[in-house]
Amino acid sequence: MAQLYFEQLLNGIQLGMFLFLVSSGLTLIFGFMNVINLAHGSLFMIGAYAIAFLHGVTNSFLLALILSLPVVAIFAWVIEVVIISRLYTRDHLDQVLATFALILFINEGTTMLFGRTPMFLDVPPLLSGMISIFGVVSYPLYRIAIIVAGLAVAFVLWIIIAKTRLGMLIRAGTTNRETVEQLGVNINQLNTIIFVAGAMFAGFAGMLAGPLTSVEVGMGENLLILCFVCIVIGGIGSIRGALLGAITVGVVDTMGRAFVPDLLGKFLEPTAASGISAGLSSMSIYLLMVVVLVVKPTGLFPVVKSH
Amino acid sequence: MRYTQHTRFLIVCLVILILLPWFFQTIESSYLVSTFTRLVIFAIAAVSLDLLIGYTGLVSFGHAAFLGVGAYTVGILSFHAYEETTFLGLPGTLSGLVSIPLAIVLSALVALIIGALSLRTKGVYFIMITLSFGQMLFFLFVSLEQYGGDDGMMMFDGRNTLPGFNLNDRVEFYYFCLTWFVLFFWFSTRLVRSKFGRTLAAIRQNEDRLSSIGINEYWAKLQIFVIAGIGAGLAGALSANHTEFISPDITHWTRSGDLMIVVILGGMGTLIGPVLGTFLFLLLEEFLPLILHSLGLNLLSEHWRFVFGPILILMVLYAKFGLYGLIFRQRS
Amino acid sequence: MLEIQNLCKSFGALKASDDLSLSVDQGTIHALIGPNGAGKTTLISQLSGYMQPNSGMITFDGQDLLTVPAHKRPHAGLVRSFQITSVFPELTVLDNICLVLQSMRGHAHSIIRLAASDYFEQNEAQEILTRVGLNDKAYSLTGNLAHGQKRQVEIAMALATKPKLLLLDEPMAGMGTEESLQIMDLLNVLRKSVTMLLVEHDMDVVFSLADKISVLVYGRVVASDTPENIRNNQDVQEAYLGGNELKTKAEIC
Repeated sequence: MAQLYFEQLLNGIQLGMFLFLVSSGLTLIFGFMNVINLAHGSLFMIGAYAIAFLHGVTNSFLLALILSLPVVAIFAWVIEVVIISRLYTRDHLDQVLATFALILFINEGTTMLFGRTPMFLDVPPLLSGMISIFGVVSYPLYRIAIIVAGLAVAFVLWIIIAKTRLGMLIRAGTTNRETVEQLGVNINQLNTIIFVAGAMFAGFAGMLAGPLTSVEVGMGENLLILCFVCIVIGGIGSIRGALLGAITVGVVDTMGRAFVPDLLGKFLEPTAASGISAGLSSMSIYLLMVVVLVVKPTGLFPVVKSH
Repeated sequence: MRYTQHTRFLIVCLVILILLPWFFQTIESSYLVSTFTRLVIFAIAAVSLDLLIGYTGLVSFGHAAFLGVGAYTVGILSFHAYEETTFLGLPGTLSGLVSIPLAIVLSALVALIIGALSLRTKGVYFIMITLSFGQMLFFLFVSLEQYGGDDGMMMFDGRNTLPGFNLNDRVEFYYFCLTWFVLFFWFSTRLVRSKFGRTLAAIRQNEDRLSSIGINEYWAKLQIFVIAGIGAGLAGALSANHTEFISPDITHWTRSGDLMIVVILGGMGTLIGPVLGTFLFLLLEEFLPLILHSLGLNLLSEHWRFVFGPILILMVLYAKFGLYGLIFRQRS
Repeated sequence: MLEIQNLCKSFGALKASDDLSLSVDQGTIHALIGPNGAGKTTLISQLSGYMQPNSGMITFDGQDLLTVPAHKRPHAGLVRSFQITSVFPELTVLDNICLVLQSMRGHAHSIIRLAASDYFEQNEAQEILTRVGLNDKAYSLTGNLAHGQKRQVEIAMALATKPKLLLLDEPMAGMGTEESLQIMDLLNVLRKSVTMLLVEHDMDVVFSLADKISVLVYGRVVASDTPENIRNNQDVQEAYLGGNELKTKAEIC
């Protein structure tokens, strides 16, 4: 039994890493530029499609990964310059609508390029196979690699935000935008950098997700909504919060799906239990978000604006 | 003066809508009545959302939840009537005199609960929490395997019954929906011109100021949230009847997004705008592919959203006054 | 009319209100002065219900004010105006007043009563606008008005609540000399029917209007007396950094 729990826990953390990679960009964009970007999930999808396609061409996971990064970067850069930059001064409703329309555009464009059949990608041979974790359970090496990659990115982000000048600007801009502008920094450049960086994390997550799931249109949106939960739980504008929120959501969601059916099965008849439990486990995350917001209407760790 | 311009426009529209079935019959395109039924139903939902977004400034991203409540009320009652089983001890029914009022009551109840919790938040958090509730309801409906789950279910006995009428007749059902639309539209117009309407405008313009002039803004917001929920629930019930099919897709968050688009496209905060927006949206959906096809752009005709997306973005950025502004030459 | 006893409000380590006690008599204009950061606006926020104190008592017109929620305080007769003018910009001036009137009458949630057809309400609103001198602007959009005129609308809105006590948070802020005089005249006329607690930096205004002055420093009231006595009070002079801020405009320029 403990083996099962541990395995599901690892699955949850691994999901959390995907959520973190996408959420970190989302929370930065929202915290620093005050923009709700619904199309952030699309960047996840673009990363997945890029690696799937390039892998088909080059037959090398590593090469496809490396080549996919600039693809995502260029995409993000164009999106930022053409659309997102015009949304900074708009209210949230406009941002929601414009980025929602952007999703339609990107999804449709992707369908035009790749059709409606999902694409599949194999786990790279080097990272396939199992590894023994603490001698307790045998776990796929690739998933461990994802967890390691996620933590590495988290570490790198922490270094940048806490120790570099760029990071200082980001921290300052999240709490008080005017100060940063007055420092004589080229705010437009900074916006673009942050957006593209955030997008690349999301795209990177998509690339890593390629081998684990079917690459199809709409994969980004499903993840994105979970990411909203993460950043609300963790606090909008906080990378640390995004990590905390992502792991929480990942673990709760995974453990919920794995164990709620059994739990309910003890109280209800099997047929009723399976239907409702599936619903409940899907609902659980949103229920968590609602509970958090009802108790603390501005999230668990709100970044307090000082203007 | 604006009111008379409006009234003339509305009367003309109403006359056209009333005469449409006869017109379609004459040109032997009676199936188009069905398209307009869909338009009228969607317009009810759009107008109800405009009350929230346009008049009160409440950006609800989970409005489709109430469409689902209305639709599933009708659907579940129909299911149990057909199967001759009971739901929590009560029998099902196909009677429109029970299904539709019940759909309205349940939508109001659900809106009361969702609103009471969601309205404790503001701004982006409100958008997030309404989205979450919408998702919760979506997954709830998906989990109801007895009622079709992911695939949905059909109303095997046809549409609801109404004494003296046959709602299974395309034209009669159209007038049924049109009546509801006119009623709801008239009600909404009165509402925005009432003292409560003034309160709503105040909330949109400066919500923090309300308590200092003695108004409990939470209750005012809750009041309009429930009213809007009723509108969407009604639309859901009518929609279920229209297609005789109920599925969780009616509650998907992209539906909420569609509703928002329609309200903005048409011009928010005008009531007429969303109706125009619905018209434009459904028209585009039906005819943009054909237009693109006739222009020789076959690839695009199947993927008209590829064209629609950027048009929408441009509208949000530069033409926010929407269709209403274009027609009445005013900023909404 | 208003009795504040041992009010305490802290934000973390910062004590915005530190055992604050103050008494405002009915029918007077009571001014509250003090250096920036003394906690004047925090006090107003606690009085209007926007913030809750950590401890202390506030008695208004005989009742415990702290049990009254913020939106009920105007109905009890306690109304504030804002330092940064806060009106409803897309409504007409008349509608701004009517909104307050409808709220006072309990019609704010009424779907049945139409806004445009309540002539009684509109007449009453016109009367109030005439009192503040804005009746020629009744149908202008409030957002288009000059700063001083918006302030007049605010005061008109406060008057529409028929207040017993009016909390004025720096009503002269950002006003030119002529506009200030207009407001001062208005307040002078109101003095007979409305008790006022006036937070103000402009000493000319304070000394010409106030019946009583309280000095707030670091969240406590250090002196509460007639204008003459306050002027001659050594402690007050010191608290204001060697008496500089107590000089009127005339003395500085």
